[in-house]
Amino acid sequence: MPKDAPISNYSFAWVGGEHNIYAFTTNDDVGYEIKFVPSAYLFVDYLENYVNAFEMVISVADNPVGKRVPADPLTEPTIRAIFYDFFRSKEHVIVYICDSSDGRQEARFRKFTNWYYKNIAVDLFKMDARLPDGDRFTLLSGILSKKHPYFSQFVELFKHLAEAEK
Amino acid sequence: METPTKPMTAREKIRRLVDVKEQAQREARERYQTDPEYRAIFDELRKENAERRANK
Repeated sequence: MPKDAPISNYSFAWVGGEHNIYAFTTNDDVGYEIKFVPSAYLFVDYLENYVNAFEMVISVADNPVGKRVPADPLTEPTIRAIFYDFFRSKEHVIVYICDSSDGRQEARFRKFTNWYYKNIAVDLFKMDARLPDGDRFTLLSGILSKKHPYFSQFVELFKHLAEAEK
Repeated sequence: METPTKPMTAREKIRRLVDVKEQAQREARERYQTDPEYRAIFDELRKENAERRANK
């Protein structure tokens, strides 16, 4: 590809480690870290076998802009590219919790859902749970392959999580 | 004899997911401040972005 060709996402780096870390930076020099934290504990009550479940965490490692991170049209496609880079195995389950620390979790959840439905890979399946958490809601999504060997246990888990407050 | 572990409730699992997320976000900021090798990865990515912009 020529160097001046328009890009669809930022370059990203695999940092590695036991938490499967990726990094990228934006044109505003904001540094993001995307981490996939092993979360097999979610399934321990359902299965004896180990499940490759991971919690995806999006973090701003450095924000030289100061206040709120400026909107950037390439951030979302970059996170998507990282997601698919990690989600190569049909055995993976990814769980994502929207950040509610600034009260903007609804907007993040809409963005994440739009992204998912706009770019869905054919064999992926997503389930959501909306859970009361004090005066807020915790918004949780889980994604896995429809061919995942523990697909039914995943559905069971999510139903269980969604009923946590009932 | 091993004591069987008590199964986690749904609420406990959600709490743990939220705690992991908050800890990971805190660690990312701290690591950037304290780990020069980690910071160098971001510096390199910034350099790549700048070069790409300059080549436009």
